[in-house]
Amino acid sequence: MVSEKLSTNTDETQKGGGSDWAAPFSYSKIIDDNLPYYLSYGMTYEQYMFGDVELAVFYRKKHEIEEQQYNYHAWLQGMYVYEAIADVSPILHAFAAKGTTVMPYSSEPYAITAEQARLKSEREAKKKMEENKAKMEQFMLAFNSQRKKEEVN
Amino acid sequence: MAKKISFTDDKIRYTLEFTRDSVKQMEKNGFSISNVSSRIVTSYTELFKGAFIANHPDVEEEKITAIFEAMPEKTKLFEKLVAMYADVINTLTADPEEGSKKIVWKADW
Repeated sequence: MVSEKLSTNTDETQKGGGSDWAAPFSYSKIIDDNLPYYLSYGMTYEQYMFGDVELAVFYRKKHEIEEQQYNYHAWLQGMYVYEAIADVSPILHAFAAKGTTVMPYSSEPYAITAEQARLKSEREAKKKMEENKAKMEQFMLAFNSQRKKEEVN
Repeated sequence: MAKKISFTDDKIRYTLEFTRDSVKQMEKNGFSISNVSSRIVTSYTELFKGAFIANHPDVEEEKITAIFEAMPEKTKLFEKLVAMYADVINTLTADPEEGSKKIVWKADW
């Protein structure tokens, strides 16, 4: 138990004047040992030593979030590299037929947020609608042209 | 927000809290939390004095002693001070994630 460990330090602290820095449970040592980690999390020395002690909790959480984001971006980068290699793979072997072409690289980034996915979906729907509209107009022109020929005849 | 104790004495507003720097200063001056757990009486007054370091470092010792003498509910006060002192280290350690196994422990002091 902690209290058993602390009792070994009682005589030293009873004498007063100066703490036993080698004590098994010294708050000062724990504070000093953790300082480099929190500095690496972005906390300043003043915040760590003189600021609100609960600030450390939020810096630790911030670090965890940053690690998750970094991991996600590394994965996403890998996906882009994977796609690029897959797109050019038809010509990456010695016996590829003459005239083999590569797949085009993605024309836009992956939609990684709900808003981006929604906008991409809208763009694709709009593009399809315009294509269908153009086809329909062509059909109507051809149909009308055919009818006029028949009327003349 | 860090736990704090506030009170007014002689029209002066006091806010007691512990920072890591004030805890280090207390340990340099010979204080140890183990003395509190061992119920050494002088450690309680040292703990109370240490709570002034962060925001009221210039308050004289006699004044702090006078305030201490006038404080009611000392047992409850020291419970709060000990909790505040422990938070200095507790805030540096991670809590277990929700849903994971949690060990239930109980101190016998």
